[in-house]
Amino acid sequence: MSEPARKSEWFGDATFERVAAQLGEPSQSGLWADVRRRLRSNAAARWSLRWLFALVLVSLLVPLLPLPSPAAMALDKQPKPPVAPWVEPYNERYEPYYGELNAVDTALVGLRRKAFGKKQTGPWLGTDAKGRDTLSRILWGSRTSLLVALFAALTSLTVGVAWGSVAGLASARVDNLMMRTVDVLQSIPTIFLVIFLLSFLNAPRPDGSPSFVSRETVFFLVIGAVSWLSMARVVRGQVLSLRSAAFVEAARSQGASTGWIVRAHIFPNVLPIVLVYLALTLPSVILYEAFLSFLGLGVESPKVSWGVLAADGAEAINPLATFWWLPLGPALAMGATLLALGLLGDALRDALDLRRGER
Amino acid sequence: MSAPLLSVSELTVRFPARGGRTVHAVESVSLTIAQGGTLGLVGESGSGKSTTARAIAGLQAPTAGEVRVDGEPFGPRSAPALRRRVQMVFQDPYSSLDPRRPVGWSVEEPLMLHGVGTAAVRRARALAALDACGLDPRLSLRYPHELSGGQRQRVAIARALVVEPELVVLDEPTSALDVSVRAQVIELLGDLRRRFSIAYLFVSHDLAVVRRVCEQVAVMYLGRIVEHGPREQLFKAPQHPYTRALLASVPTLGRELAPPPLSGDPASPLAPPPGCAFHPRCPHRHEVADERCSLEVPFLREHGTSRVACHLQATPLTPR
Repeated sequence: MSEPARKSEWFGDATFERVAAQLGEPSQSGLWADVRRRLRSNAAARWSLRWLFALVLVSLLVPLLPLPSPAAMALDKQPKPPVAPWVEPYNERYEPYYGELNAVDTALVGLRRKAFGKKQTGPWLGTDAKGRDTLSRILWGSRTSLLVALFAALTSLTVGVAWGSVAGLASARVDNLMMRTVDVLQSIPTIFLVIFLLSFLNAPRPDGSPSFVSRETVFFLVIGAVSWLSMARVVRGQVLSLRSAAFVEAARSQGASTGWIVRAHIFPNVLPIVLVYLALTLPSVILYEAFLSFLGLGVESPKVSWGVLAADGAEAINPLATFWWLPLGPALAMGATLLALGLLGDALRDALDLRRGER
Repeated sequence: MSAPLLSVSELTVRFPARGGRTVHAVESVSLTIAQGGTLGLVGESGSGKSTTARAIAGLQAPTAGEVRVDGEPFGPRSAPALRRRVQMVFQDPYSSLDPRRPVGWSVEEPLMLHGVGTAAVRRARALAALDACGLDPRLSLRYPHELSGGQRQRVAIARALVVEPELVVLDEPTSALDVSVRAQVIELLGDLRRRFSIAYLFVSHDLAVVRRVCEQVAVMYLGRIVEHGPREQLFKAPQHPYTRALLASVPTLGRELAPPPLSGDPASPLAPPPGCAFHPRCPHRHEVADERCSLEVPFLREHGTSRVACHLQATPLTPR
């Protein structure tokens, strides 16, 4: 056989440099533009995003709104029913009483007082047994739920994703050790853990100094400890299957380092699943916060959360009168938020599924 | 004839299985492929042909024996410059391309990993490779899910060729494709071989395809090569009883379907039978004296232009 054309370049044809220049860069953004387009064409996803966006905006700016302060009480015998906004659009009984506020919120409240003075909205959603405005409490309470969701999202994204990827990439032995740790953490009954931590950390000190760990800190610690576990599982499973995928093997056979494999192949393929899973985990965390607060293990008065509001509603149950407005508002707000997150997760899964793209 | 491009000697691959048992995937396989030569590796599922291919492509470290490329030891730990000379095309074009990368990127990736040229040079080469594989360069911006199975397999072939290998290991490259597309891909492989003088190791269970593509054919059964010879010899006058059964089991149009020549399933590679691995199913085992087939492993012996591993060889089969 004659010496083949091997040493010369097989694909050295210069015309293709022109073609390449004409075609332009293959961009990753093309894929994401597609996802955005598909997400936009989904009405449920559009409305979910609008709701979540509005909720975040309102909860951030709630000190600016001309609402009664959420902890300001009035001595009433029993909860007052809602008054329609056109009957009593506003009154002039605003009393600033918020408990502790951080610097930003204090500034916002100051602005509000300059802008609206003593004016505040009427009891559009009624008041509770202590005369506190329900609407204001729902909006202030959304902050707790969103904060918990944000915290859980961050732990999932950092600890959960990192733990899962390392377990998926490591040797079988390390993987086993890491995943058994997850199993152990997941099998801890968190309710007992919260009660244990609270009673342990809040025990009176011999020198009489106040306990330095608030309920909220304990609460966030526990949420942080559990919220990343399922994310770690999901990511690990995905990484394991990607690791043995033929395209990863093909790259490895060209001498690709683990860093390259992770950056070029594993990360782009794991990201969509992480996003979907995140959207589907957040509702359970929000529910969990409400549950703990309902039991009295969550945030402390005068702070408020949707779970606290549910507990208030439960307290007001009696055989003589119904106070339907107490549970209704928080239930609707929470239901809408959970539904929005669920629908968004669903829509994301559809939008990120490449095979379903051509419809 | 120059020294062989690929020489495999006594290649053995075993995997640990549950209960302390061992899967004997490949046992003492030896073969060679010359520069620009083509070898077809056939056998039924579980015969170890894919594991052999993976070991030769350097994706699987052998338990024993060695693979040499151009005289140099070759394996998963070889230098990238050496590994570049052997490329693999996988069976399933769905899983062999990253679903979240444009296919042009996938073809370019080996060049990036080998640090070839500038970005512009790499892109031009990737496009040229796609073009050589019969794909419009505009398809390079598409994602795998937007292409058909045949187009995807062409992309996979382009990815293997873009680094200018001397040997391409094709692991059932057409078994996931439609029959019409299969013919096109086979034709493409032939064209590419003539154009670039590449050697192929072609793993398949499709005898018709192997007959069309490969000059040399090796038949595997339970991890061992039972017959190895030139295409004409092997297809016209098969020597090993298993090869004969394999050829007889190919259905032919216009001829009544013969009863299956073999009964039973191949033994498990977890517990290969003693002696000749094929003896429990062999219709001729009683023609060999002293129960030799169940006691002694037959080795490949020269037989005309072929090599056959069968005790019966001393008393050649009479063509039926």
